[in-house]
Amino acid sequence: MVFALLGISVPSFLLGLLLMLLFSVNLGWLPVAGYKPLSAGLLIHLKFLLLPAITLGAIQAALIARMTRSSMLDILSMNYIKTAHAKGVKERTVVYKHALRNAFIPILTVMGQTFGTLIAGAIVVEVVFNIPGIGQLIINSVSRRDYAVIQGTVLLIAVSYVFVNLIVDLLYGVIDPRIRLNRK
Amino acid sequence: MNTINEVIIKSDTLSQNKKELSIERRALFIRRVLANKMIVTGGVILFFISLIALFAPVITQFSPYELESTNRLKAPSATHWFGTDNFGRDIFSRVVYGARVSLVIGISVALITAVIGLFLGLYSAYYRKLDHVLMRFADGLMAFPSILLAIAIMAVMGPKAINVVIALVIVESPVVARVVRSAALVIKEQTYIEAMKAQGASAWRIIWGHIAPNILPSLIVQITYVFSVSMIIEAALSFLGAGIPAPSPSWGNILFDGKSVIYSAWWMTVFPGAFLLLAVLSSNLLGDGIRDLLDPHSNKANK
Repeated sequence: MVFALLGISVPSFLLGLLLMLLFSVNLGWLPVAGYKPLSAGLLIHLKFLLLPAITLGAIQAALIARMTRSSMLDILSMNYIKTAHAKGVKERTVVYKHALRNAFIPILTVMGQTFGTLIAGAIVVEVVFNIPGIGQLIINSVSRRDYAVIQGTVLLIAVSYVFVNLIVDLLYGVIDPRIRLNRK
Repeated sequence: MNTINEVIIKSDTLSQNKKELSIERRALFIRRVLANKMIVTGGVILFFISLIALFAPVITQFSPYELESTNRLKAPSATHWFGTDNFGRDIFSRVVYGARVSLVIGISVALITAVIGLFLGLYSAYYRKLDHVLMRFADGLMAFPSILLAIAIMAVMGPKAINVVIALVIVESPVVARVVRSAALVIKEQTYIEAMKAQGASAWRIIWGHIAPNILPSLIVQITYVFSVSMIIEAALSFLGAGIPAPSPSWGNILFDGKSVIYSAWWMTVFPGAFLLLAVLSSNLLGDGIRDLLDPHSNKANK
């Protein structure tokens, strides 16, 4: 509860700065900021992406973890789980195959919505870590009042958001056969 | 004659009982507030930060603008409690004066959005035709990520403290209006509102006399969140260079200055960051606490 509240309260750019201070400046494990393309080598590429990814993802991961927990608790208390246990199904099979699959629908919804939050967060985090991504492009074009670029990037983000949510909707059917639409 | 006296005495004791009851109720309410750890913790921290901001000139020895080129990037010491920045300015004074900026912006945004959100939410809940227009407009504003919208508004209006408030009000008002509207819709369908209408009460009286007091709890909770969100966005805007203009102290500005010297001056990131975190955390605590206090259902849902 306290941890979740802390997660909501930390602004992403502050989390990024503090992580940078700890892992790059004090421990010296990772580069401070910047970006190296994949052509520079996979390991180097990932090294530069690790901190921004943690900065952006940590809070969302906490939210998804909370959702998973409450959803799994609901499912695990159901009778068919008891039946599965009584049949002597292995614990792992019960949890992953019987319970998780049924608990996954609300989790998937949260994951889809997370995408929008991540894009918005990326705008600030990219500036913190000096990554030449779409977020920095937006900020630069806003400050230069380059309307064509603003329109283009916002449209791209909107389309990809819709696309991600389409995939999420399609995945509902894959996970839960009862939701499939054109079932004959 | 006797009976009339009796009636008067009875009504006297009755009104006295009522008074006692209301005093008792108030005492019970205060006890419940004090028993709520989240409200007490959040309230105390916020009160402390406001005190610091209020008495900024008394607490600080240095002006937040005073440049001392001989004292650049000094580590925290007895004279400079939080160290100095790359221009030799005292970080402690800058953080304390920055608290003023953040709190004033947070409070003014919270109050203005409360008024605007209350108006828009109530009237769009009451008049369905207005609802269609206003809520589509709100949807449009809410479709943008809030930081992006704030940046765009700031880019148009230029970096100034008053413009930060305006941008945040534009960003946050639709959210508050939404919350007010959905709460008001529930109240509006209650039978006693129908009874009021049947008696011929005016729209003004129904909206302000009967719907507004009943949605106040959800508005108050939402306003504490607006307060914390606007402090976050103000810091983010200043960090991006689109908020409070450069020489004025603001937590976001100090963090931005600190980023370029993060290798040599950790104190420029840690101290303003800690204050920002404390302020946001305490107002979120306060909001959660008030919500638990006013709405018994959310108590269980969150544990």
